[in-house]
Amino acid sequence: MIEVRNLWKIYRTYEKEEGLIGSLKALFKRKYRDVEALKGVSFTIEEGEFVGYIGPNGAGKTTTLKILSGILYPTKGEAKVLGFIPWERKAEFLKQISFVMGQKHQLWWDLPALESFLLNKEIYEIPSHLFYANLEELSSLLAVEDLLKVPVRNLSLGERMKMELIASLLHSPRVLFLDEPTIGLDVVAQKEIRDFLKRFNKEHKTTIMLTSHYVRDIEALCERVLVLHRGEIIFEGSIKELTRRYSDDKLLTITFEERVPDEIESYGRLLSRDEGKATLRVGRDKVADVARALLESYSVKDIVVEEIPIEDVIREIFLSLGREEDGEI
Amino acid sequence: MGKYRKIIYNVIQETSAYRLNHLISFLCVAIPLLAIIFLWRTVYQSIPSIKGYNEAMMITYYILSTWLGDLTGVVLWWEITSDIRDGNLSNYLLRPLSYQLYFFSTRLGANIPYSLIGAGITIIFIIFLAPDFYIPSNPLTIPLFLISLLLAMLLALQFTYLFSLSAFWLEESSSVNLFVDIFIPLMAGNLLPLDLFPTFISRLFKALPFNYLLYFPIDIYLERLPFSSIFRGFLVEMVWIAFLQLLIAVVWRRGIRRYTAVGG
Ligand SMILES: Nc1ncnc2c1ncn2[C@@H]1O[C@H](COP(=O)(O)OP(=O)(O)OP(=O)(O)O)[C@@H](O)[C@H]1O
Ligand SMILES: [Mg+2]
Repeated sequence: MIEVRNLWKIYRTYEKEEGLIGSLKALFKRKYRDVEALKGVSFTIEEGEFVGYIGPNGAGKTTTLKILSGILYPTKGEAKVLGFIPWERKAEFLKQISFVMGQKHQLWWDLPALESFLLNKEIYEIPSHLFYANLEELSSLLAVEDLLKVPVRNLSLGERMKMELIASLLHSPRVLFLDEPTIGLDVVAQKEIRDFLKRFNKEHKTTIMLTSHYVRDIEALCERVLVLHRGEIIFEGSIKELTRRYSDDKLLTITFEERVPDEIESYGRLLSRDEGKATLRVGRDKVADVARALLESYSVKDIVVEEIPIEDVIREIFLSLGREEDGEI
Repeated sequence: MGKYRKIIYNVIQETSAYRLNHLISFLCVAIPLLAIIFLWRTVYQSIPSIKGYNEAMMITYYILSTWLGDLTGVVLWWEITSDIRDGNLSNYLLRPLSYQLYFFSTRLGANIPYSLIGAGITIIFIIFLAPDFYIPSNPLTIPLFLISLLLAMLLALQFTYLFSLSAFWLEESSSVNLFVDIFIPLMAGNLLPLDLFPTFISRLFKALPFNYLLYFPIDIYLERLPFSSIFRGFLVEMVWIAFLQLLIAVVWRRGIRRYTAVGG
């Protein structure tokens, strides 16, 4: 469905020269800076998969999605989406994909969203019965039926995002690229969009590639994640595997009969403590030993063992990657 | 084609909110026009004809050039340059849509209400200056004039598109802007009928494609050209249109490779 092999993108940015002399000089020799945004990215995505594409700011996620949706030429490398080379932008290809960017909009600002939808109906040559059926399904799933005739500029950010989603889905794309679709939305709207995407992917078998900095989105939606860092894929697999690979620890929350003993820190990394309760971070293979030792030495009311929240794991991965670069580790 | 019709419709709807703006901006050009008319009246008090233009023809030239100025004018279209520089072009590249035809449609959609208002004001001018306005005598003149107008509009759209695509290469377009805003109107005949320039310059300007934007259609309207010259003009103009279309294709293909789709 999506095949990417050794994809490179180098952005060349020209430095601006000051003043008239500078611009004359620039005519002959322009100073430039090359940014290697993608450095040999390869991956494959199967039909119907919902894949999370994550990585810290500037990793190259958006760049990848732009190349795969055909709006950007790669510097080198190959990519096939639905069997097409994306940047040739064949009409047949464009009719089967969609790219939703959280920070860009395609809707006509001064007109009701419905007008933009009707334009897409013409652009994508959607038959009327399909168009109205899709419109009804999408707008009722997203609960925006009453807003179709309101000028887009009068909609809230969340409502607008839902309209953008509808505009991008009316032609029933087989592949959907989502770049931070929940950015800036409140938790309720985020969840609504999440639920919607989950359902949509299930029912329509749409192949979806999602980037988001909200780990909850990824956790709730993606069976598989690709982690990109400085233009290179550094991990590919399920979220479970990701957490296991990068964090070998578990969380132990112990409730004591009396106050927390002072020696508690010798059993693991103490994350928090209050009157009778302490949370320790302990290596996965030591959990049993630590629990036994605590039970033997103190009167313990309760012990809870948990995985570290994915959010924390990912933050740590990103942090440690950042530090490596700075030579701190 | 349905898509482009819908785009025109959307733009008309969108810009209808700004009808008053159209009216006001048209009045802004109508007032200088009055001054020009009075100037030529004074000139013609001592001379019956200048380079084949009598008073009525000269005044008609300026009335028509004011009305057509916008319909067949070349501009640096800020929507294209900002689409390219701010990455909004992505929205169009993503859909099975020709950006050129999209632009043509929005331009037409914006121009239709504007030129209707313009035509209204032109008619008011004609009524008040009726004795001076030139009415063609040959019944074929008006159809030929309309054909030349359509070709001129097409040519103007092509030039506007081509110059605006320079944004793929230029961070900032003041030099292109200077050419488009000052030199093209000069070469198209917006300021003076081309015959009034020194012979050498007049020949040069008539050899360039810009004269088809304004000077040529008005020349047809004023019946200053024999049919043979009109048809030769049409032929040359169509060759230019074909050539520009090729040039646009080349420029687009190279430009789009430089496009970095900023933002998002
Ligand atoms: N149009 C551009 N011109 C020059 N450099 C660019 C351009 N777009 C992106 N870059 C650079 O390429 C790198 C990757 O950017 P990209 O937008 O793909 O990152 P990202 O993973 O989407 O980040 P974020 O999470 O912040 O959205 C960055 O270093 C960025 O500065
Ligand atoms: Mg991004």
